[in-house]
Amino acid sequence: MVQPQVALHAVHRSYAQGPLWRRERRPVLRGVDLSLDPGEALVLRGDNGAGKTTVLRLIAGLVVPDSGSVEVLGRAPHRDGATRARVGWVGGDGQGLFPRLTGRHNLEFFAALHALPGAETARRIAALDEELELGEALDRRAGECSTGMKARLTLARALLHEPTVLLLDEVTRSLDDHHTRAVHRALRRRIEAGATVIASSHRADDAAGLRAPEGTLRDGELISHAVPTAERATGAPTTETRDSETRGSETRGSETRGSETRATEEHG
Amino acid sequence: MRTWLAFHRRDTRERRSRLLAGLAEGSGILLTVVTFYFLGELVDRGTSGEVARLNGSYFAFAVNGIAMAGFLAQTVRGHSRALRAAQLEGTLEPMLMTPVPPWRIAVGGALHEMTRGLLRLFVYLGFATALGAVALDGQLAWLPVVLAVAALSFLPFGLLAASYTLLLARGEPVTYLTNAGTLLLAGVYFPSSVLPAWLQPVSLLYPVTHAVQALRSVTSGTESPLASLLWLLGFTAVALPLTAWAFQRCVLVARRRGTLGMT
Repeated sequence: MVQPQVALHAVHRSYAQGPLWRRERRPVLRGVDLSLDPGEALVLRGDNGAGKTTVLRLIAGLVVPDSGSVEVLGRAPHRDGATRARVGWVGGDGQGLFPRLTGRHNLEFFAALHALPGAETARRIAALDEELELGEALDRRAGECSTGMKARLTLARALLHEPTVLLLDEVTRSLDDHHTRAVHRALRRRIEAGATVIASSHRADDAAGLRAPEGTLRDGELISHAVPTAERATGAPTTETRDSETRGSETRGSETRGSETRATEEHG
Repeated sequence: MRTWLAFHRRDTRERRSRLLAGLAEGSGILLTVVTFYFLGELVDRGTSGEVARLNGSYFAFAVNGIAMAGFLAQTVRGHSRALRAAQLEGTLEPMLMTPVPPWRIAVGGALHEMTRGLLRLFVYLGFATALGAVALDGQLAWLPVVLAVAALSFLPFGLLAASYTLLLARGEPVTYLTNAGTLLLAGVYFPSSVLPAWLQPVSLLYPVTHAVQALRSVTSGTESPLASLLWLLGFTAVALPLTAWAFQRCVLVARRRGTLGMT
């Protein structure tokens, strides 16, 4: 039996809000269960404030659950630095870059924290440049980059140390179609290589682009996993993703995956 | 070592365009030194008993205190500012997703500011030497050791400021408290012997007092700094692991509250 790379069990999480003398806790997640094996991906959907970012932050170990358990590679990520180091994290709004450093210097800094040797860092940056079309973003100060450039740079930062689990908070929100396809291709390659990818998104094409099921968060619960919209409409992979479709049909269902997903996979 | 270098390189790259600010800072130091030179002239003419015991020069006494207190202030401020900036830029969370332990991220972020603090200290000593307040003899060979040990002993204060920043999104209170405590207790502007008897043991326990004393020993060439250095090393051996642990706990509290990247 394969150990799930990401497992959430009955996770509850709330946040304190209001002034100190009238503090109350606003529940965000109410008993979320999720289990993803190596090579599986999930696109999280849901309204603003539904808890998508909280789910990602819990898995990243940046937030601790009020109750329930979160495990990444069999360990609680908030307690284990070595586990967190195997996770790639992209926060929202292209944040997470030093604005006065160039894109390349940003990547070199994080590579050093991951103890990557200089030559290997240069090789990986060159490969990511080609893959994500970073171009001039590498030699421009991050603070002077467009939002789309920053989004690709933060993704490059997250991919630099070749993580086992990738957590992406609306990474394609600011990207044009061309760069969105480049990002989808890059992520599919990682999924095919066995990485687990969880991406929150408001874009309808992300699930299809990643050949991943959608999970919807509503009222603090993960209520459904549905097949990507494009796949559901056509019953076939989109042109853009056809080259790497095979992996999607082989993907085993997660524990909470709904019947709709399974049915589609049988089509595939 | 690679991690420390990475932090330092990052901050040097970020701040290399601040030449004018550096020049202004150097001029400010010169003005302070000159001010205290003339103040020393005045005090020395009064010939108080205390100053007479300090090799007869109040200026030499004060300039060492100011230089070391400035280094401490920059160390503490460096920790809180670097952490706050990382929170605001959203870089704290990605850094915490690397194998580097949180306390090393806090110290690494302050490294550049600490280096600047050391440079400022050297500028102070340079001006003081030009004005005849530093004895250029064999004792000066101790200077690198004194500064290295002082820097290590200041890290616990920095980590406290970083912890406070992490929990309350501001580190100034720790900085103010440390600065004020240093000016009162560490014998910066006046010798601890003029403090009331009940406050003198507190001054003696305050590590910065020993850092200032060690620097004075070296620049005056009158006594060995060994006793002060041993005291500082003992303090660091206890306080550094404690404050590093406290900072890691604060990171955990922030994870529980969900305020790690609080802006």
